Amino acid sequence: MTLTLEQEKEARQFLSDLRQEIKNHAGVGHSILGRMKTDPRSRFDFKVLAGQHFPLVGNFCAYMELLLINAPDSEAKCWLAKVLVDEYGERSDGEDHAEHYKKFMHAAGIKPGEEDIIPLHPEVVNFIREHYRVATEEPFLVGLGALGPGHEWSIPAMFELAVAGLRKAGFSEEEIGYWTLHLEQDQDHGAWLEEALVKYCLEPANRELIRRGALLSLDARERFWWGVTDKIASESTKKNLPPGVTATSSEGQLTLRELRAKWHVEARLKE
Amino acid sequence: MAVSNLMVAAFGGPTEECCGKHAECPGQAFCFVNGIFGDNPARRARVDEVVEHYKHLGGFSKFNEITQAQAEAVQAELRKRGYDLKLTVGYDHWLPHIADQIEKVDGDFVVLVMAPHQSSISWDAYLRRVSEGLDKLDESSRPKWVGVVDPFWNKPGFVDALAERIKAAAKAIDADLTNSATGLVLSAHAVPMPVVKTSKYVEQIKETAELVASKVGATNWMVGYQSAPSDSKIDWTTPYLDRVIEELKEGGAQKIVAAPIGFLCDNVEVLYDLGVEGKQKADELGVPFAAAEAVNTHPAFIKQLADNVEAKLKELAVAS
Repeated sequence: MTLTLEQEKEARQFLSDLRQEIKNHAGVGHSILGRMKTDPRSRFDFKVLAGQHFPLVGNFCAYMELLLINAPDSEAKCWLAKVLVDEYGERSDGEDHAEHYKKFMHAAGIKPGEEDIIPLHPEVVNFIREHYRVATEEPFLVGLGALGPGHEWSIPAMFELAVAGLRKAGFSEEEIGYWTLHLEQDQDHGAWLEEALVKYCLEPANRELIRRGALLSLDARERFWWGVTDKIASESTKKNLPPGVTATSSEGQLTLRELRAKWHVEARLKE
Repeated sequence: MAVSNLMVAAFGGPTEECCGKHAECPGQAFCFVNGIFGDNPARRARVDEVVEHYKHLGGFSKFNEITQAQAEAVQAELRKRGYDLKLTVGYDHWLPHIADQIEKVDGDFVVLVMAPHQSSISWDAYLRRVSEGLDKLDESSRPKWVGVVDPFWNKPGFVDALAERIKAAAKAIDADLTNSATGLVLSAHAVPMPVVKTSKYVEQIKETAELVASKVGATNWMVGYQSAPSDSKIDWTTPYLDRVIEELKEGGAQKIVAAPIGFLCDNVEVLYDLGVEGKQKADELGVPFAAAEAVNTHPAFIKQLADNVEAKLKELAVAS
């Protein structure tokens, strides 16, 4: 398809506005991230964060693979495939991102083998559930909005803040390799994405689908960060005090292992 | 176990003291609010919005002054009862910080959390700061944290103090709380729903509200949540204060009294979000409105706090 200059200008303006909207979203600018620069977090705080964040890292490829099934053309498939190849580990010494993340988890104090037996805040589970839903049940462009702009344009901004906090907490560059890798790779993914998205942004209805997907993902992200905030405060309290003193309860919270055992995702080929 | 120290932990508010985080001071209110939201351009609009609330009220907050007065009054009440405790007060978001104050504690200590209702972002967050302070000290100089004073959302002294504040506000606009033509708004800070999922915050607010409404004989009352950040895209506890004022008016209220049951002192959220914005909403609807003072240093409230501290000290003494 050949775009007229006017069409391309309009599409790129939409994408530029969407980038700005994502950058200013309260999920991207959540206080837990913004405060890392001025109100340093401890290694224990990052241990809690790592346990809650790991399930998101471990499921991202699956959302993308599900979305790929229904990508409408080869251009969209190519973008998804390029990102997936990175996620599988092509530019990170052959280690997929979940394996890479485990190195950080171990540095933060989570023992090998215990990565998936940590009780998860309900918003961690909801984040994963929402992204499987979007990837399998919503129109392709909503899924693309969630996994494309909703992730690739928000992660560099969020991780930049997180990396500042990780460094303040004393993690070495090697220990935080997962985070710094994403600062670079997601800039690339974001740029590839912009090129892949332009042609889908000609119709106002399509633009709205992409925007809706991005915002669904970021709303889930804002809830996720509140869940992490909640977990850090309650786990810190439990660490030093007898049971019953914390304001919170983790009763009924599932671990990633339990979640995997009971989760059923249905993927359908759409016309 | 001889408990010799009482640590009082609260949210905090900006005073004239400089936080020292910026080479050139952008104003204490800015530093305070920016510190809460994080130094992040994404939230700058919301930070500026809240800073304006502080500027409207003079640029500072009476939070720390009132909390210090509450803590000293509790200490004095306990002294009358034979407990001589060294007092240390610290704040989550302003000077002196809870974590820094821990080094001033010089023996076994209990913590009094100045939050009437429990959630991770108030109750647990302040306790986390205590842990942070302890972690900074060598084991040899680390005081022993032996307990946390029980919460007080449903305790009679807290309820009585709130009821008296409400009656005083009603009197100011000649409102009869027992008449359904007077609407009573019982206000608490909105909390994001992900945080509500793990705590009893909403249930505790509801219980306080029922007890207070019953105490003043109110027949037409509602809980209203306030001060949710305008830029958040997710659900916070509802109904919001402005909607509650509208609903009471729609339901026939001819006068409205509002009381900050989720706050312990006249901080900026009470004075501005409830006192100024709540009144603006009522003015738009043409309803006379009065906001009650927070419990502050009401004697019944202070006595209740002292009762709770004393109960914890006795419990610890028995346990040892």
